[in-house]
Amino acid sequence: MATLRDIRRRISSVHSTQQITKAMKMVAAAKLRRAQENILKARPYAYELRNVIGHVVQLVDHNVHPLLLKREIRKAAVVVVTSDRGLCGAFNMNIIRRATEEIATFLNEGKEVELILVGRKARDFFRHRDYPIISEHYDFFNHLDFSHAREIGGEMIRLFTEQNLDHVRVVYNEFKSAIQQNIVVEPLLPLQSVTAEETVNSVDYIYEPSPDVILETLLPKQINIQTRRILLESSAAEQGARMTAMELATENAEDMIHDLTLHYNKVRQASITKEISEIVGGAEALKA
Amino acid sequence: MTEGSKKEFQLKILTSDKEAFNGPVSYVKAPGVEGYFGILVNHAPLLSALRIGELEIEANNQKKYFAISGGYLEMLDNHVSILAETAESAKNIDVARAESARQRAEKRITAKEPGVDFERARVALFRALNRLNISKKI
Repeated sequence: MATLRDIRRRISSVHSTQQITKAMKMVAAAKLRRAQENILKARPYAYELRNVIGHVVQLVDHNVHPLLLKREIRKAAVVVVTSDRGLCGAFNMNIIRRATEEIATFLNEGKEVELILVGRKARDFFRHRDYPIISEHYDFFNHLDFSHAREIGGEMIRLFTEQNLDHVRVVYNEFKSAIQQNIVVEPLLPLQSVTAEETVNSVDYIYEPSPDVILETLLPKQINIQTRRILLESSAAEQGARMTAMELATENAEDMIHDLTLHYNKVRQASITKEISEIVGGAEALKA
Repeated sequence: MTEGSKKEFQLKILTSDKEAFNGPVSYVKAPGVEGYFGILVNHAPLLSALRIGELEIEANNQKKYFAISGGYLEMLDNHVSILAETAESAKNIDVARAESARQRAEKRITAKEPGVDFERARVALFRALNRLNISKKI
């Protein structure tokens, strides 16, 4: 049976763990506020650009630019966006599970799949498995800026243009609210209309200056901007998930402390009772 | 001209971190790479690259001016979307900052030191002058 000292030690250990989870929750809450602000500011532009690209895809002759060309898929890339740090609940495991499903689907169809891993957790998981990895990007979510999006986006564009990839899709957590994340699987290349039901009843655009000149910069911009949005989504979602996870951990620690204290008091009482009855018993024996 | 006689269409002006304008307008004049062009209601579908310059819009019979530095404009089904690199309305322009940017760029250009990116300095000067000009049109 646990001695009083053991229980006391347990309680203080759980208590210090609780202080850590509480601090982590507060840090996550502060980071969440900043990350949430960033994604909310970035969304309108990214969505509007996506709309415009959706129209372009429907109106423009796809031979005008390589990023519009739909080829038969021989080799696809799955971009797995996780976080650099853990302790955020099922955040990363959900993504990895979903990515694994996507990979399996491609493989079942007899296609090659390669991975672009974003975040330390994706790298830690897939490094020990037999999937070909194109590149790993990690340790930047703390100081996320546009250059990271450009690096990852540029890589996709290059591989797709060189026909080393025929399809790129991204698996990431979308920020919904502080307590909710959505897993999203989003095809990025070749460029396509996301809102398929909205068909444009129109003829081709008038271009200023010419289609190839505009699309030459506009289409890569779409990839970079959407990549940036995805990184910001994931970053905000991560802080939300961590805040929730740490809040839960703090509550669990509270429950544990409660149970242990109850147990401690019972054991203490039992030992006092035992001592008294021993003294009483001893006194009785002396009397007799 | 009586009020409401002008046909309106929707305009959105967006930059990567904010929405500079969203609402009905009756006229848009934008700095296309090949020159300024105007848009009225029912304009044909248009996709244009924009350069540094002045964006003029008319909403509720009032003219408004924005300084923009490059981007894209799409007109489709009476919706105009302007995806600009930067966009500030005349009254939101930071005049002091634009002025110091102008001086910095002029100094770089006239100094003609080796290693100075002349083209970059020239574009910076354009942007600063553009902002200064438009800031006077409140």
